[in-house]
Parts: sequence; structure tokens; C-alpha cells
Amino acid sequence: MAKQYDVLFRLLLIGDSGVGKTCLLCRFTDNEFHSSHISTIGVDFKMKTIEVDGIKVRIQIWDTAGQERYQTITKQYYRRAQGIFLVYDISSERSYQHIMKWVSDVDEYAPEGVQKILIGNKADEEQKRQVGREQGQQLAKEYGMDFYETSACTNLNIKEPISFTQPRKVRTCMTEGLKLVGGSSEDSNQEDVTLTVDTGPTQHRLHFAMLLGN
Amino acid sequence: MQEDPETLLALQRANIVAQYHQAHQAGSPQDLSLWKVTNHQGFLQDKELPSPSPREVKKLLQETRRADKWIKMLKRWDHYLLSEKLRRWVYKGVPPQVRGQEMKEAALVSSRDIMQMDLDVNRTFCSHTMFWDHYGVGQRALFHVLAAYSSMVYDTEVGYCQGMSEIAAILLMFLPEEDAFWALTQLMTDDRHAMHGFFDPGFPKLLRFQAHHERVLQRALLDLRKHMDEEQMSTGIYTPKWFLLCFLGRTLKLWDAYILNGERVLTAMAYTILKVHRKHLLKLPLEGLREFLQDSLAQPWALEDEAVLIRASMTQLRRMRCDLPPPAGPEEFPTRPLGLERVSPAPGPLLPSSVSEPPPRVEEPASPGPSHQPEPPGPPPGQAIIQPPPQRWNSLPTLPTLPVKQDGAGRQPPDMVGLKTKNVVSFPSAPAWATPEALRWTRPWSTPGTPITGSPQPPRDDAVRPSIPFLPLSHCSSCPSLGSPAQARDPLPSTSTGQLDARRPQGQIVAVSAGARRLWPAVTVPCLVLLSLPEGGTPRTGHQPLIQRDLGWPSPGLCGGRGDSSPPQAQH
Repeated sequence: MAKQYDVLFRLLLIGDSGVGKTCLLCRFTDNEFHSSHISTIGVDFKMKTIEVDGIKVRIQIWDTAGQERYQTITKQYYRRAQGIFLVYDISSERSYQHIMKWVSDVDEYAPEGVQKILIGNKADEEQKRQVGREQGQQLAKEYGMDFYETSACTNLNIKEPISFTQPRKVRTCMTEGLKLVGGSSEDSNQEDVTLTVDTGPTQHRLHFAMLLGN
Repeated sequence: MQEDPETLLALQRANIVAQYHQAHQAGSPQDLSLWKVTNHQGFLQDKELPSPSPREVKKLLQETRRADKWIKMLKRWDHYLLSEKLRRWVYKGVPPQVRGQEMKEAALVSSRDIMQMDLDVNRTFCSHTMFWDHYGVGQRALFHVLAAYSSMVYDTEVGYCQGMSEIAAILLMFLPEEDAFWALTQLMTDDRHAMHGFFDPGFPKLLRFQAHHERVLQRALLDLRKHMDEEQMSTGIYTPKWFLLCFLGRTLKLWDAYILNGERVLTAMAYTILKVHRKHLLKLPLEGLREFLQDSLAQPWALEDEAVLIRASMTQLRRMRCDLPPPAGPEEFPTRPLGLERVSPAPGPLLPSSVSEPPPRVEEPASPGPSHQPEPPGPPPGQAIIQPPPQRWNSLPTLPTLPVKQDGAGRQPPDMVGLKTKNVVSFPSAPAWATPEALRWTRPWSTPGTPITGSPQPPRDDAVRPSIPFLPLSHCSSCPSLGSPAQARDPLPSTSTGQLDARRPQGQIVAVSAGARRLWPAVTVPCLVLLSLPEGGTPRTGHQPLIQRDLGWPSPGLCGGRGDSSPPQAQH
């Protein structure tokens, strides 16, 4: 069967349990928000296809269980990720503190140079805030990450972090003349191609709010 | 009119049941003279007790005042938890009125995963009327079950793992709090379910079942397997949900089958799903596969005859010799009996009443011999844990009836001696460190390192019950799960089995009821099947407050087969 997309990106959501990873995922892929989710057991993923300059980009977002014990399962999925979201909850200092641990896990298991994005979720709960925006910015700067405060509940900033490097990567792929368009069965591992042409996304990030439309 | 014998028998049974029911409703004993011979702790004495001396009266008054203060303190437990004031008050002595509650609180906070549980409890079956209210009665029961199970004095290896809350919640839908706790224990540790390995760090059993599932696919559904490989749909994406939660998103019918037949149902169900939907799955791309296997399957299955299908699959898999994965390694089982206190629990002893005497080390050999190494009568030391077959401490037939913890002064009921001898004889394979002398019957909610009998508390079978502490009547009315008059009476089982009788030390009430408690989950679990099946009578669907409950024993109507000690055998 013909592929319905030209480029595939795998993104990974990690962070402490209960910071809202699954909610972020649902908001992005289905534009839905459920205040009550069941805890994620193991891993799950959802996909969304978007179009950039006529190229169909499929974004596959992997959601992981936050409990530390599940890392034996989830860490297998780091390797295949091209972008990693490290999520904390702005109303939980503890989840913010743990970002350091998550970063070191990324360094250990994810491919080198993978783009990391720090997300402070639940930004709508301003009255419960324990982690200031500056703290998030500072931490992001320290580890060379992008930083966004989001709210899956009010749909604040959700599209922005998702649209982080894709345009750049897609363009890079295009200019490198790699066969991306009209993906047939032989392109089954084309997503690996994007990895090989990744020339340091941290330096060439473009933020396309228009990418996903508003 | 001549009644046929069966009807007569049924009437007799109903009569007996009704009598128990009446007695239950009657409340406390009518004979008030009994109170004259009842001591402070509720034990009947041979002679009438003298009226309290002025000194005793003063002491009692003091105790009452202290109890009031404790109740206040318990209301703000988190505030006082690590405070010097709490320590001081504990040294002064915990009033018996609040001791149970205090132990419970202390043990619950000893669980390492309190925060994780708090998060998960509030997102477990929130669409169910029992659990939708945050910090409501249902959620509280769920929290208690999980916290007691994962406390530092119970299953310290598994603790709490995400996924367990769903299992416990299902149990709580049909069982009262403490029964759900024992049923959970049974599911985690018995031979047929052994969920301990599913939730143990590293998920050894999940990996084993996953590998086996892949083998089954390879042998019986090769085309589907190839398709899934092409689409990069790995089995690891859906099997955690399937195996850890026993397909819980789907149907309780399957849960019943799982309770009844154990882990082979998981293998068969996984195979059945893929086999039945094979043609459909073969057409689906990755996203469709995920949606189908993760989400759509959670909807009640359209197929009416799924039970037939699963049994057919089980037969087929058995013929292929694929009905079960290779046997479990020792890493999947508890390496120590549950309920054994840790030597040095992480949060530290909250109740320093043990300060006069450190808790005995669990590793110490129980026998008074000079050797410092455990000397099991069966396997040599160390190998008891490593060598298969593993020690399954909590599977019922091999579990020693644990004696009440002996206190430091060597005070112990005289009959315990008989108990010990019997148990040692009965369980020759237990290593010495696990013999009854070494095992102390600890309460899941009691404070680590706190010798419970260091206090004047009588040894009671209540000791093993997570939600019913020792509490004299009508105290601590602030906590609805405490202080019910019904709970003050110990519900000795009306039925006992030959197996139990064989272990029963004559005249030792504590041991009898403790043994019976141990037996109970084995009976509960099959009862769940009866409860959930439509033909099994009216299921108990709502959470009933503990006060109204029948002391943790299933009412006979719910559990007709309680007298049968043997659980239903696997049907195939």
C-alpha cells in the first residue's frame, strides 16, 4: 500500500508521572482534553499528518509511562526518537527537579544530538504554580533546550513546540535531494534518512507557528 | 408433606445462615455481667475484676485525655509526622483507643510510593461511581489497599507499580477493603496468577509472556506477524496493557476467566484477539493497528461467544504446546515472605517505642543454635532463593501459620509452643529464617520496627487486617472505618476445613483465626467469579461502609461455596 506521508518524525514525551504527557498528546493529535486519563501503562503513540510546503510530514508522538519502574520498557523507544519533550508540571517542584534525571537518561539512551524541548505543562494553574517561568528558561538554557510553557487544558502553546524543527529538517532533506516524495515501499526506512541529514538542529531551529495553522 | 432431602438440607443451611445473620444484627452481648470480668483490653478473666483503685482511675482519666489529644494529632498527622512532639507522645504511651489508627497512619506513610498512588488512585476507573470522587470513600479504600500492600512492612519488593491500582479497584468493586487487600495478595503470589512477577522491577514475567506471545505469533499467525513487523508494530506496545492489566479495559468476563484459570488465559486471550481479527488487522497500517489493539479493543467485544473462543484457543495452544511460556525464574517471586519487616526501613521507625530493644534481625536463624547462617531443613542456605523451584511463600499450601510476634520479654501465650512445633513439622521446606520463630506476624499498616506486643495489646487476629485496627468500642468516631461495635468481636470462621484443622493448635484462638485468615483469600478469589457472573446471584456492586459489613467475611449469599476449601480447578 502506498504511504500516506513523505517524511516521518518520531517524537517522545517523557517526564514524571502525572505531569500531563498524555493530555498534551491528546490535545495535539485530536485537539481534545480529558481531565481524567488512566495512567499510561508502558508506551503508547499517536500520529498526525501535517503538510509543509507540499510535503506530507507525519508526526508520530510516543507517550510513555512516568513511573520510574517503567523505564526498563520506555528507554527502548528513546533510540528511535528525533525529538524529545521533557515535560514537567509547573505546579510540582518535584517534577521540575527530576528533569535533570530525565536529561541524563536522554543523554544515555537517545541518539546524540537529538533535539530536546523542555515543557512546563499545566500553565493554566497559575494559582498553584511552584516553578517560575524563569526557572524553566534557566534550566532549558543550561541544557541547550527550547522551552515552552503549555497547557493542554487551555490549548496554550501546544502547537508551537510540536512545530519545532520539522520545517528545518524537511527542508534539509529536500535540499539534500533525498527521495522523500512519493514514498513507495522501498522508502520504508526513510525516517532514518532524516536522521542522517540532521546537521545539528539546535543551531538551525525555526519556529513555524503557521506550520500547523492556528 | 414429605420434603425431599435436598430441600431439607437447603433449608437447614438457610437456617444456619439466618442465625448468624441475626446474631450479627444483635450487636454486643446482652449479658452485662460479662463486662465485670472483661479487662481493659477486652479479655475475659476468670474472676470478677475489682473496682479500679484511685490510682487506676487517675490513670484511665489520663489515658482518656491523651486519647483526645491523639485524635487531634491524628487529624493533622502529616503536620506531626516527624515532629519531636509525636516522639514524646509515643514515649508516653499511645492510648489503646487510637493505637490502631496511629499504626495504620504510620504504616501507610511508610510506603515509598504514596505520591504515585495518590496520582493514580484519582485516575483509576474515574468513570465508575465508586471512584469518581477524589478522596471519596471508594478512592480512600483503594488507597488503603495499595498503601498497605506497598508499605515497608508488606511487599517491599514490588511496592506499588502503575497498573496495580486497576487490579485493586476491580477487587474493591466486589469486595470490602480488607478482603480486597487479601485478594490482591493472593493474586500477586499464588501459583496460578503470580502477578508479583508482572509488577516486579524489570517486569520479568511481562517479558517472558511477551516473548512467548511472539513465539505463538510466529507459529500460528505468521502472516500477521510479518505484517506487524513491516508496520513496525512491536508486541511491546500492546502487551503491557494486555498482560499487566489482564485486558481490564475490556470485559469483566475475561477477568473472571483469569481468576479461575490463571495466567494461561492471558496467553490464550492474546492469541484469540489476533486470530479472530486477523483479516482485519492484516489490512491496517500502523496507526490502525495501534488504535485497534490499544483503544478499540477496550470496548466490549461484539462477539458473544468469546468464552467459547478463548477455551478453543486454550485447547489449540495446548495442543501446540504453547499454552504457557517457559516456567518462571526465581526472580519473579517474592524472595521473602510478605509481611516480614525490613531490618532498616527507609523512613525510620516512627514509633520509637521499640527503643528499649531493637527489632530482631529477620536474617537471624530462628533456631537457637550457634550457627549464624540460616539452616534450612531442606535446601542449603542461599540456594533456597536461587534454585528453582522458587519459594512461593504466599501460596497457600506452603504458608506457615504465622505466630503473633513474641515480645522482647519473652512473654508469649503458652500455646504458641505447640503452634511452633506443629508448624515446623508441617513446613519442612521453609528455610530457618522463615520458620515461625523468625517470622513475626506483622501488620501491613504497623510501623516498621515497632514491636507491636511491646504494648499491652493482646495478640489478636485483627493484627493482620489492614483496615480494622484494635479499637475498643466507640472510639475515634471521626474515622468511619474504625470503632464499629461489630468489629470488636472477632469473627471466627464458622466453617473450617480439614486442612485448617490439621494446622490448628488446639485452644489457640489466635492461631486458629490467623490460619483461617490465610485461607480466606483462596476462597475469596473463586467467589469473585461467582460474584461477577450473571448467574452467580446479585453482584455486590457498590462500596459498603465497613461498619455495615460482616466483619470482612463474605456474606453467605454472596459466597455460597465458602465451605469448600478447594478452589475450583482449572477447567480443561
